[in-house]
This record gives sequence, structure tokens and C-alpha cells, in this order.
Amino acid sequence: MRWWVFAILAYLLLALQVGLADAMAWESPYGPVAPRFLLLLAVLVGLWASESVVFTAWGVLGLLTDLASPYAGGLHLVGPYALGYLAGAYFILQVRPMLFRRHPLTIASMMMVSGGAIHLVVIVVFFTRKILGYPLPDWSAGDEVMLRLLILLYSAAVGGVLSVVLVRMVPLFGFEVSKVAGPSRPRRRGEPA
Amino acid sequence: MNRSGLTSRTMWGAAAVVALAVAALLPDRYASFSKPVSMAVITTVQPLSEPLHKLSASLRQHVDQPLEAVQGVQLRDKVLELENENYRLQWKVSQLEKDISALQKLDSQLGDRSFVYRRAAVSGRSADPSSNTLHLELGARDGVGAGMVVVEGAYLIGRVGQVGHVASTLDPITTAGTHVTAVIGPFSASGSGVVIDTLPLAQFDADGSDRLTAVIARSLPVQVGDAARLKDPAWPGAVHGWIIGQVIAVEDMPDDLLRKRVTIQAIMSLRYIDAVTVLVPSRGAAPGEGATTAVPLAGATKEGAP
Repeated sequence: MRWWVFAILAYLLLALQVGLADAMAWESPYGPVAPRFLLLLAVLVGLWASESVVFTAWGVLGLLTDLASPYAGGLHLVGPYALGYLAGAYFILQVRPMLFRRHPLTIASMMMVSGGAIHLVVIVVFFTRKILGYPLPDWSAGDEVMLRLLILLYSAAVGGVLSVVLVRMVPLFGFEVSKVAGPSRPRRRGEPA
Repeated sequence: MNRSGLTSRTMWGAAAVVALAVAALLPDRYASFSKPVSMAVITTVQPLSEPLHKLSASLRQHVDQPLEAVQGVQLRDKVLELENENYRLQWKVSQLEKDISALQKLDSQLGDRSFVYRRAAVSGRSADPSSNTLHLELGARDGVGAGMVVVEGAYLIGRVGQVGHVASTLDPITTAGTHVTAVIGPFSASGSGVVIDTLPLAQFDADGSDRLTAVIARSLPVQVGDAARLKDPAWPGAVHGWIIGQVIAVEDMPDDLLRKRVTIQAIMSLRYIDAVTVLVPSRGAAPGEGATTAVPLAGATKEGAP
């Protein structure tokens, strides 16, 4: 994978996520629901890149998310999203051999599923912090579950649309497709094995 | 070699996961180590995120307008609903104020507290078209008894006729065949300045309509617009002085040069009365003669009274 392509896209999508959050957010009873663009890049990498690259890329994206997520009271935590993204990477690596990677619905559904793994880990981390006696202010596990579920739905919907463009950019990443197992189209006559 | 490399990678990975887990669970005071890095990331993203945010803020203003319009419609509907409820409550309040006003007026008029005022809704009218009896939603359960006086505002309406357990009938003073003695004097709803004992007496007879007629001496100073006030020994003294009607006609009698005919009309039309007040004697006084000896009206006084 060409890491500089990944870095530029990560930067753009993080800026979009941070900058357009207010524009695209809608209010829910549990809090503002805004799409997560970094998850789209993660899923794209997760579907196409080799296993080690996937873990590394997802770890980096998780760290970026952590670092771009200040909490109330000036708290900055490193770890919740990084761990979550690693869990998501593991999950997507397990299921991707069964997926048709180019289909927008695949990307949308993977955003839902692997994103669910990410947010589950994040909630577990925050819940553990609560048990340990240093919770986030006004943090409620029930509300968080609902809010993050809505965020995933929204992100999947937006990501499904954007994936139409991003999938066409896959050659730019220079993925080593031969290292990635998955359903393959029938070989044409005369095509090398 | 390859095997050991894989193991090493796995170990590094496991160590990274453990390090991240520890960092994630650090207490707040130890978690500040990432603050400089975090601010660096935010600062790096800022050149692109800031214009996007400004753009989003301006977009949001336009996007929010339809949202506000929808909210406005919902609010308008809510306001209309509340206004309807408000009107309904206002109507109820006005009805209650009317009742309170009537009862307070009664209270001031019947200063001796010999009566308990029972507000009774008029539930209907006799099915017999020749009868103008009204049905009241009060009965013996409420302490209502036959012969009790029924008033509305400053005007005397009639007496309670039949009494059931939860309902009763009202015999208006205009019921055909009723004979009632009254004095005729200047009209004043409050009764101020009226001394009923100095006014001319007249015996009124009801003909079944809303009018009563009496024949009086032609020399008596009676004119159209005067009020006829009850002064009948058959009625409780407390209601003496109450208006039973207003003079609408004073006619000379061609066959009797010494007398004239006076016609009065009930001021309160029974057709539009929805509630009346029944005066229930508070100490079990019989609703007849000598039941009470109250001052009849706040302003109207008997002769010799202060």
C-alpha cells in the first residue's frame, strides 16, 4: 500500500469529520449524530490491504481518532479508539474472504459491522473507567449505545454513497491484491491462473 | 527465522494492545501525556477543518430554516391547541365567576347568613307545553326542600316545587295561578335608596306567560320602568324586597276610574337561564313565613331601619 496516499486521504477525511460534523449532524435524544469518515477509509483499507497493513492502518486511524477527540474537562485519552480499531481490523479480516469488495453495500455493511466492533470496545473501555472510578462526565452506557448505533447507521449511509467514488481510487493505493483472499470472478478463457 | 519474526510481530502487537489498554484506563491526571500530541493533530487538521466548519456553519443556517419552519408549524399547532384549552378554561372560569358573583351578591343581600346557597343547573323544562316548570339538578340529597326560594342574581325566580332525591322542579313566580304581593318603586338592582315599606303594595296575578298583572289605585305613583319587589308574607322575610319584575305597562281601566292596571314582566327570561341559586335554610328553618328575618337588600331598608 502506498502510505502517502493513505496519509493524505486520512488527513482529508479527518478534516471532513472534524469540520463538517456540525453541518451534517442531526440532533437525537442521545446527542448529535454525525458521520464518521475515517471509518470509511478504514473499511476500504480493510477490504483490500494485506493483513499486517490492515492492522497498522487501522491502529493509526484509531490513534488519530483518539487524538482528535478531546473530552470534557480537558481530558485526552489514547487507547479507546485505537483498541477499538484493532478489534475492528481483526473482525473485518475474518469476514472479508466472503465479501464482494467493490460493492457499495459491502462497504456500508462493513462500516456497520466493524464499526460496531469499534464502538463496542470503546464503550467497554469507558464503562471500565466508570467502574474504576474515573468516568467521563455524564456518561451513560445506554445512551452511548444508542448514540453510537445511530452514528453507525448514518456513517454507513454516507459511506455507501462515498464508496462509489473511493472504490475507483483503489488503484491509487497500490494494494497487493494477490495477498488478499476472497471471492474471485470466473477466469476468462486464456487468462493466466 | 520467519517463524521467530512472526512471533516477534505478534508479541509487539500484543504489547501494543496492552499499552493501549493501560493508556485508555489511566486515571485522568495521568492521561494528560497525550495532550501535546493531540493538540498537534488538531492543529494539523485545522487548516482544512476550519474553512469546512465555517462553510458548514453558513450551510447550517440555510439547512436549519426548513427545520425551524417545521418546528414552527408544530409550535403553532401546539399554541392553537393550548389556546382552545385556554378558551375552554376561560369559559369555565367566567361561569364560575358568574356563580361566585351571584353568590357574593346574595351573601351581601342576605346578611344574616340564614341561608346556604345551592347552585343548581337547569336540566330541562317540563314536557307539558302549558307548564313552564324547570328541572333542577339538585334534590333532597343536597338539602333542597319544597317551597325553598330560587333566585338568580338580584332577581327572584320562583320556588322549589317537587323534590326528588337528586332532582327537583322549579315553579317560576310567573306560573299561572300564582298570586304574589309586591311593592312598586324605582328600579335599582342593588336596592340602594329604596325603602320598601313606603312603597305602594300591589297584588299580582300570573297568567302563565312571563307577565304578572295587578290592579292598583290610580293615584299611586307608578310608571313604566319601575321595579316590583316582593313583599309577600307567604315568602321568607329574607327575600322581601327582591325584584320579581319590571313594570312594562300602566293602563287606566275604563270601567273603573279609581284604579289602573299595572303589568310587570320577569326580567330574567326562563328560556335562557342555565343555572339558578336555591336558598336552603342553614338552620333548618322552614321555607315559609317567618323563616328568616334578614335585611332584604343591601341598600333597601324597611321603614324605621337604619
